[in-house]
Amino acid sequence: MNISKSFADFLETLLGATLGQDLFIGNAPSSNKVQDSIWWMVATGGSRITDAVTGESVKEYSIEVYRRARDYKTVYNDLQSLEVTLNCTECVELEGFDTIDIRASVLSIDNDLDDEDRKVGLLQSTIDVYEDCIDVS
Amino acid sequence: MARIKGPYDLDWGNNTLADVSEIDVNWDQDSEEYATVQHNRFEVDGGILVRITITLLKSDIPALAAVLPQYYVANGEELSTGETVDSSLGAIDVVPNCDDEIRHNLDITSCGNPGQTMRLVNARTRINGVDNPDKLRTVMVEFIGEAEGGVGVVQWFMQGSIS
Repeated sequence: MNISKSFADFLETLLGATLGQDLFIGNAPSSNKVQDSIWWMVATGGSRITDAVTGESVKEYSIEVYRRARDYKTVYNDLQSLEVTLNCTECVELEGFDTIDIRASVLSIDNDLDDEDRKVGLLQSTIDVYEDCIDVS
Repeated sequence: MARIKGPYDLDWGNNTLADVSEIDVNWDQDSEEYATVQHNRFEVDGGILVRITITLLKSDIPALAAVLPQYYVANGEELSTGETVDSSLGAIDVVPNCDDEIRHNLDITSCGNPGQTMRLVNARTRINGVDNPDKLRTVMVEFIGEAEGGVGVVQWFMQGSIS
């Protein structure tokens, strides 16, 4: 289980979306293959922010969640709702990860470069997870 | 000559202590200074007290029970406040008492094969503090070395080299 798949599964539950239909990992499929109203996410990171002397670590991942729709209001409301949920949900556990913290902030909404009648918004989420490192020596 | 590096394995009694974010060694040695009428000064060393404080990143009941067995209350037993513990994990009840303290050697072994072990001889434990920052509670536990007279307080040796 990687962080992208784990977070995508979590978003499926939060958003009522379906991975592969209106929620995607990595990028948005081309317009002639999917509907206008979709979500997609891109994960980066894995930086160690706390190191235990016994080898474990707290790692930080950054996940960008994009929302696309025909109207500005839908994009704005959906992202704001997701931001409140991520920042206020307690004791979240992502499958396969010992989750310490999830926090999020929403950036501005812009026109979709592929279609001026569509809007795209971005939410940046930071996830801290505790990891037991495997001894590879 | 070689550098001694982590990550480290910590062992106390039959338990391996994981998720330790910090190890803080406090070394205190008594000494007495003397001066002679010949204007010489010298220092005589006395007893050594070594305390090692570790910070536990995981502080659930099993983790605390491994380092504070003197305070562990098993499932079905009674707390000092009268309640009965109803959890397979047990509970921790910090009650100052006069019972015999539990002592083991605390071994801190560096990475490598073999690693180098630093041993705090005959150490007992006590809580040094609890920290509740943003999201992760940490517990500081102090190991106090109390070796018998004539016995080393701290030892260094290669892992597996003594028997």
